[in-house]
Amino acid sequence: MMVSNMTDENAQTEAAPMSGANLAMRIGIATVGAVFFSGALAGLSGALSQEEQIKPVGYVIIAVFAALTLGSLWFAWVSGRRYYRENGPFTPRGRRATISAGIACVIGMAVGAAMSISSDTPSQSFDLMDGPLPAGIAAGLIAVIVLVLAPITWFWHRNIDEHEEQSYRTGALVALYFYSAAAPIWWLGERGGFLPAADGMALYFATMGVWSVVWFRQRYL
Amino acid sequence: MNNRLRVLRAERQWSQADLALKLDVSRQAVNAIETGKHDPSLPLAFRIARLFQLRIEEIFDDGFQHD
Repeated sequence: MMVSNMTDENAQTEAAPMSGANLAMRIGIATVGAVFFSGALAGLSGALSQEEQIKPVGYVIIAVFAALTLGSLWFAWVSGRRYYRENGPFTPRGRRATISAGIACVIGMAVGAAMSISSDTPSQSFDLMDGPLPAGIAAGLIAVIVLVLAPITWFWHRNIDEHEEQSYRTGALVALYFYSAAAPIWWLGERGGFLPAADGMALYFATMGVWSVVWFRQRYL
Repeated sequence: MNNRLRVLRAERQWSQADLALKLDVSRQAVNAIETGKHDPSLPLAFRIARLFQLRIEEIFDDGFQHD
């Protein structure tokens, strides 16, 4: 029997549902928008609150930024709903994996917006983005990672299929190689005097970035 | 690895989502197998073969030529 890699006409004419790449682009735009507009809203509100009398135009600008923030979140919600509708019906396992990833995404957006707001609020005594934090705030954020994100990640791993798992593992392997090269290179460069002091968090984010890009490419492209 | 999955699916007028539902995997996994980007595990290959009531080698071809 002849086995070929696909030439059937009927199979080619199937309407394409929203791709994961398209969804990721939309969620990315929405996240950047929500973080930027909420930060601008916080900064503007802080600046206006120091004036004796706020002009009506100030309220209008605040309302516009608030609407843009909500609009960004609405765009993410609508995109997620469309992806879910067009890529379904999902298996119960697939639904659980998608919902848990969605919850993690919403938490990420909320934390990002909170960091942006704290960074742009003049009256705030600390900056979530950088520098010292009150012990309670730091403990709260650690609790979110340990008690919320870790169980969601475990639950997600229990429900993904083998293709997702392989994509994730490939991403993890490439990210590990990246880290095992980047960390000593930076360390040696620092000691050689031609690189600034090694930044652990920068390495962390770069490693996560490599992991995400490879996973995404394997999974959706 | 070449395979006939897309043809077999089209013969039954199933969408990728329909097949994914029957195999308990995601639509992306079905697409990756159909396009040869992902070789299924042995358990999944058996599930696919049972679903189409064919032998695994009637669906997948590793390119090995018999003398």
